[in-house]
Amino acid sequence: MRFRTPSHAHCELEDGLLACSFPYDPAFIAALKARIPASDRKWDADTKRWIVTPKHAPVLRELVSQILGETLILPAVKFDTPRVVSKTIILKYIGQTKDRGNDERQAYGYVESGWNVIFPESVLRTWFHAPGKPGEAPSLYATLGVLSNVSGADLRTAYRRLARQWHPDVCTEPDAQAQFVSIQHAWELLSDPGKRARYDAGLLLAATVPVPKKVMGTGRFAKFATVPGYRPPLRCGRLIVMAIEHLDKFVVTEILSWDDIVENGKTLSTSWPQGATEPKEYWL
Amino acid sequence: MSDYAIVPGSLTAIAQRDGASLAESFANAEVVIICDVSGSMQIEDSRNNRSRYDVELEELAKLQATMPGKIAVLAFSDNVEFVPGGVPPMMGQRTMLDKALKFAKIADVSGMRFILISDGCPDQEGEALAIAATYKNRIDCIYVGPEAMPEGRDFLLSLSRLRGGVQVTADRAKELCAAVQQLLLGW
Repeated sequence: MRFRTPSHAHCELEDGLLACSFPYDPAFIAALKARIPASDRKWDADTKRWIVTPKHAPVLRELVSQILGETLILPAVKFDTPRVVSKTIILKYIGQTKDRGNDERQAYGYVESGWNVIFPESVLRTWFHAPGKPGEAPSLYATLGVLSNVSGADLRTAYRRLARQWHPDVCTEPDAQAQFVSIQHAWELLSDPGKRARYDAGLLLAATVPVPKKVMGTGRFAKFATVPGYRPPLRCGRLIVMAIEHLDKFVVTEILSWDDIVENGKTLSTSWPQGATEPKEYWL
Repeated sequence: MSDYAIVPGSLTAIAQRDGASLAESFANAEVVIICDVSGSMQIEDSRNNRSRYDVELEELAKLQATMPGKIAVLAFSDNVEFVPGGVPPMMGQRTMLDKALKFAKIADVSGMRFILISDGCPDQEGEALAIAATYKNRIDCIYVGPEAMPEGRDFLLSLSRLRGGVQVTADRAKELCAAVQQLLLGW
């Protein structure tokens, strides 16, 4: 069945989401894309409709009125508490978090079916023990994905795991060299008991120093403040997570475990070379 | 000077030079200098009729430039601040040394040296001595008050002896840098 572009804006509720058709207007489409984050909207090419999460209903009404000059009648929406489910994910690749117009930055995870898993930055930072303030570099413990009370043996295990994953001989990420150097540096300092004790004292002292406002990007500096996204220390793995299904994607609310993908005694490592359409796999 | 003043050789300067964090910079520090910035440090009876505080700043800057990345600075009066930029702010109030020693104990790790710079007696002498006695490392003291008023110097002598440290004098902060070097290098 062919769907025609409608002459008027129309919205109905389907499976708890707003399914909307609009007359074709490039300005309207541009505004919709700018105002509603990508994770909360989807273009259904089969039915020629926008599928949007109901919380953006006021935005849709405003855009239709301002740009199309119509009054959009919206269905009554009942907001159910989203169901959180446990999922096992074979994550083939995850990169750096980015600002995608949501409340916080997110990283998209690549699985067999595509970029269908969303990791909010706070979820990743919690798992890898990297709380951090905006603009602050991760601690050396966070670089290795461990807690500050990690034992010497566990520290060594974490270091070896990451060093294998990021070694420039096998990792073709653009920042592989820099990441590998960071991992090496973290290991060299933390594996020395004397330096580790001073570093721990330094962390406590540094926490008492306020971050200058210019770094935080307040006032007239706010719109120029560019804080790099968070780069998790691992790029792939077999994960067990708690997640909410959202527009054919899963938004992770908590990571319960993150193990290496191991087959025949070898561990999977992945990279995404520039220009590639899928991750490159290496078995170490 | 502004709150964020940075002198060459300070922990912040070294962290910026190396693209490292303050904590990483502190991992290479060898000495914690605890600076008195109470009201009496504003008395203008030091070198060239300048205040003891101004001369103290000058001497600390010289010291940090001579020993880049090795000196961590704490400032205290009513409150205590870690000053990684190396320029202790003038607080100009009481001399709460007990508070300062409690704060500085964070850095009481194996091999760390402590040097207390003060020109007078603290407000809570007993508490200060009790906290100093719990340190693993020695606390050396530099008296920067006038020679004619020995009470402050005698207190610092008592404190330094608790953990096997020594006390020297740098009259009203003059030659402070040399006094610190004397302590560190055992001249």
